[in-house]
Amino acid sequence: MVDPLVPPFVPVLLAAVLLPFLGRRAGHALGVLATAVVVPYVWLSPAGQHVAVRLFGFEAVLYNVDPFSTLMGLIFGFIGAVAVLYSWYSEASSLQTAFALSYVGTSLGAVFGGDWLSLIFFWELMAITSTLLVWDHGGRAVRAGFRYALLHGIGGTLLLGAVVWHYVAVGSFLFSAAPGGMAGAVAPLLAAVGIGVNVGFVGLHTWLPDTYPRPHIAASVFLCVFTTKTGVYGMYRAFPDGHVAIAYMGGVMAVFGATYALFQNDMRRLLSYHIQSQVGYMVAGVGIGTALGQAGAMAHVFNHILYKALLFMTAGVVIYRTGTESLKKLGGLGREMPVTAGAFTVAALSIAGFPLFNGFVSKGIVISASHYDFPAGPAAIGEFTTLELLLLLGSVGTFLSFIKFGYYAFLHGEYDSSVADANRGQTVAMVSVAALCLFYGVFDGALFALLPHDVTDASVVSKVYVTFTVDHVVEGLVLAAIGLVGFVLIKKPLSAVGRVPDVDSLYNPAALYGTRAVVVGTTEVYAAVDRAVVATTRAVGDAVKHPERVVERLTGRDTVQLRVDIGTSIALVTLVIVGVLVLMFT
Amino acid sequence: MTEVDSLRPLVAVLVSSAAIVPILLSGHRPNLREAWTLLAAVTGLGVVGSMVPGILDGTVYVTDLGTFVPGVEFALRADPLGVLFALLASLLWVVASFYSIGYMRGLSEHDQTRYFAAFAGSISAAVGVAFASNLLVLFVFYELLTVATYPLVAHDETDEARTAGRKYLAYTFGGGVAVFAGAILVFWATGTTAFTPGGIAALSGSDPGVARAAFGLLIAGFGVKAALMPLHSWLPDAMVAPTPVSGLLHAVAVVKSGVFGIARVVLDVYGPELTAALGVGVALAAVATVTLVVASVIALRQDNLKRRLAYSTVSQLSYIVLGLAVLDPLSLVGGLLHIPAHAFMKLTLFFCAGALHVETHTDDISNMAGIGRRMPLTMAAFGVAALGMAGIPLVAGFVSKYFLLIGTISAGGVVFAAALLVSGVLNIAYFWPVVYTAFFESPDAADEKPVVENAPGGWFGTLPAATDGGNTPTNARADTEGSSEVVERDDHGYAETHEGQGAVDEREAAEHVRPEHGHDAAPAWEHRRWNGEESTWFMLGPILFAMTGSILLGVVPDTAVFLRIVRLIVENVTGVVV
Repeated sequence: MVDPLVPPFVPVLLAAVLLPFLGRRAGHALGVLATAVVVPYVWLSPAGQHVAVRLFGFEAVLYNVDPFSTLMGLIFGFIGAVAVLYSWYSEASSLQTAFALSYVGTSLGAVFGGDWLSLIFFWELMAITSTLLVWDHGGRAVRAGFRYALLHGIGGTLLLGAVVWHYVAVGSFLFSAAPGGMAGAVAPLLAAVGIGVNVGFVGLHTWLPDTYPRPHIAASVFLCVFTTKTGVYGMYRAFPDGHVAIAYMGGVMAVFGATYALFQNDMRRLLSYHIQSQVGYMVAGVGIGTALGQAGAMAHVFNHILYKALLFMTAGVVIYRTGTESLKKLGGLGREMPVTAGAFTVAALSIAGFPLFNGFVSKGIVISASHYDFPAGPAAIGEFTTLELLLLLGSVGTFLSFIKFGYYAFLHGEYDSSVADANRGQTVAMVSVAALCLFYGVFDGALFALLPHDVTDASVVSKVYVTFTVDHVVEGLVLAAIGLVGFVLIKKPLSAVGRVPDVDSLYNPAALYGTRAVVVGTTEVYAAVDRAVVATTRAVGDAVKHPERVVERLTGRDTVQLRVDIGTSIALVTLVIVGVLVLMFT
Repeated sequence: MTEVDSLRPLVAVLVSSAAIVPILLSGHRPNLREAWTLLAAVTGLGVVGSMVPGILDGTVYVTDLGTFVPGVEFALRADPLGVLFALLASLLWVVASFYSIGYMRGLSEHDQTRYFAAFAGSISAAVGVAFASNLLVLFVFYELLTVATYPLVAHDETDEARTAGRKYLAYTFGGGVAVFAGAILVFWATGTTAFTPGGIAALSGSDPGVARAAFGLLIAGFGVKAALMPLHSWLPDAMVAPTPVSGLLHAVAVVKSGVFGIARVVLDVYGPELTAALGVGVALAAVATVTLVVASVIALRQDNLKRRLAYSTVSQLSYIVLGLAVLDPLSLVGGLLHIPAHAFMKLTLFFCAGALHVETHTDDISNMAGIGRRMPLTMAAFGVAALGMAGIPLVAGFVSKYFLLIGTISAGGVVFAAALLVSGVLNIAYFWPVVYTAFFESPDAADEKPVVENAPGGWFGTLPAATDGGNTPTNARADTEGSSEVVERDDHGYAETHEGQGAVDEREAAEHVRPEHGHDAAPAWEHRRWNGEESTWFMLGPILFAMTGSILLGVVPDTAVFLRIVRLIVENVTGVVV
């Protein structure tokens, strides 16, 4: 029991508020401390502990500890500290790091919420804080940030709708009140699409490659961690029993993201597509929904955060030292920046799932789950289920694109001028994360201990998972070999491929012009109505004030005399009254 | 509920109108004149506030002034719903009074005495609307409110202002006539027009055709001030008034008097059950739904900040009407809570627009790139309130939208819930560009605004000069230059054309946008620190107060009293504890 009970987002958000006033050095030191302290704090909080509150009269839980939240909290806290350190040494402004910390804090709030109300509360705040983090860089990041905000506004709105529908069906926001996740007919659909924006479902993913390459290099390190992984966590909360369609979506994401990554030359854009691809494995694990699948998904969340942050840090160092974003203008940096190149190699082998690196362990669990716990599906080949094939195909794509990245950045040719390697703080940040990638790749038991389900216990999972079997290791090596040979074969045609349009080149203009058409149409109709009303009013007013003129206009005569004497007037009025009375009583 | 005879409702109504005479008499001593305004505002707030604890304990304060017309009492009755509105109006009048001082003196406005007197009269009428005990008394104060606000709308005395004023009178008096006719129908059918929580019992026994007709008349009448489409078009035009008027009256007191009237009709004349049985609730909800979406769509296209805010008001008022029309207890809570929630947020936004106008004469969003450097606190407050408008957590709009959504879905109104959700996204689409252009763009590198009318993807390729060069000083000022006595007229940030101020504005803009050193000599806003040196505290104080209020309502709405009053109202009407 940890005493006193303070939700982990509190110290981080406090640090975010104080940071701009403390000066750069003290502020960043405080930021490192505030995020790092989350790790032991969460570690020492036993499962079941929670802080119950009433939010606007509804029951809510602000600090809900269960194995899923604990895992998220541990890795969020750790990588937050590393990323603040990296920001400190990458010339990030205090304000930017303050935005980043507020983003970290709101993400921590979201994963420790024990009910949908606090989850959506922090979920929407997270969209705001991450948008600010992007905007802070200015220039091209601003408009991309606006598109990001709009898409996440839509996603958050859909999730809000799901939460409300769920509440109406269940009568409570608490997770504990609905063990089956989103209840009713409408809520699951809305939740899947709403969360689908955050995890980058194919078709809803374009914000990833659009936004993440544009801001400050240190901002990208934060961004690549929190939004999508909180999405995976939310997906688990919404679908604790999984869903076939979600699992297949995960498989498609794995292939789609890896394929598009292959076409990219902007380093951070390439990495962004790989976020989608890797999150595909997690989504597949959540969609499978068994203990093995969920354990694999969460293990992959943990590992992915390590190696993806590391990849963005290495790409950031390259940009920081060379000022170049494009792989086409780089090359030969391996000799100039050995530390960065080494860190990149560790991260690349991890993400591709090479034996003895952490991605091998967790990706293996998900693929194992897709093999043993999932129906064969329409395109199964022999022993391999459809989903498994998709995930393996994604792995080949990953090998290909990281061989490409490594080759063009670090090996190919000579770099024209001398380039310094990462500075001290950047090195500390990168090496510590790289060490963990290796550690969890070799000592897989350390990773298993963190997972919500024990994958080595036959009473928990359908098939006990063993990392280093001959089959599995061979599979990893074969995928690597296919990747290597494939890269040699496609290197030439690939370099001829220009910019490959993604779905956003379709729906960005469609959204803009569509909205414009609606807006212009609506305003013009209203303006026409308003003009008609004003004209009528004026005409009526004229008719009352100057009836002669109206009659003159209507009859075409030059002068009309409408004045009559009192006798005729009375006769007319009487006539009208009699007429009305006759009409009323017949 | 216990009724207590008390003079406090009457005092609350009269205290601000009592200030009119001393205000008019001290016209040549501005400080004394404003002291009267502030004294009346604080006293009024004190009187209304003193009733809040009693109200929460179930007491109703009544001032009975005898028979008004045969069968109808002239009584003022402070019940929970009335106190909700009166508390809001009198609290925000205190805030707006300080702001008015900063604004009117900042612009060296003409006829400030008339302005402050009319303002006091308007508040008096608004509190009267709140405390009216039956439809006829409500009608009287509703019309008085129109009369009292006319001088404020037409304050500028320009042709444009007079036209807007005439339009305002035509719409609202027309509405008044409809209210009067509806009240007479109700009286004819039941023999009373007195407000009763849960509805007038005799009305459910009357002819449904008559009841529907009366409902239609009353809603059409109140719908004018509540800016239900298609009766809304006076509101954007009334933005020609000085900004404190746009803020307090045309986002809070006047428009909310229309919404308040609808609340009285639905809750205390017909009651939720009869409203549902007659089928008129759904019709009203449909009108509100169309209004809230269409107004948001129109807002997307407005480049003038005050116009954009006006359409946002039209949209947000319909949130309230929708909540009332759906009739579910939780939607009623959401709708009623949105009355104060929207008031605090929209007041913040208008006050910010006014501060921008006074300090920099920047009225169009397309000219606001980088203005966050010049007006940091103001634009930060604007950002917070804009978040709230979109229903983002921590700000008041989230709480009320949340209740509204739960209520509409509980009642099975899927279309209504969908409209609320869509409107939330549209709010992001029309408020975010203001925020990002202010803080994250600079005059030489900014998207052209409004976003929806310009190139996809933003500013690449087109780099327009920040200040507008297409305006000639002749057209905007032609109307005043003809007269022998040229009075400096301010357009209060509403002019049709860019920079509508002509030469005055261009000179002032040139003072603020100074060329920075550098090879391209890019214009940039001069930098002001975050300590209030951007403006006077007369304006910043009210801005920050209203912003803080909207955050308090978003975090601890019960502690901030308003949600407790709302819960009490709904409990009295529906018998459901929410």
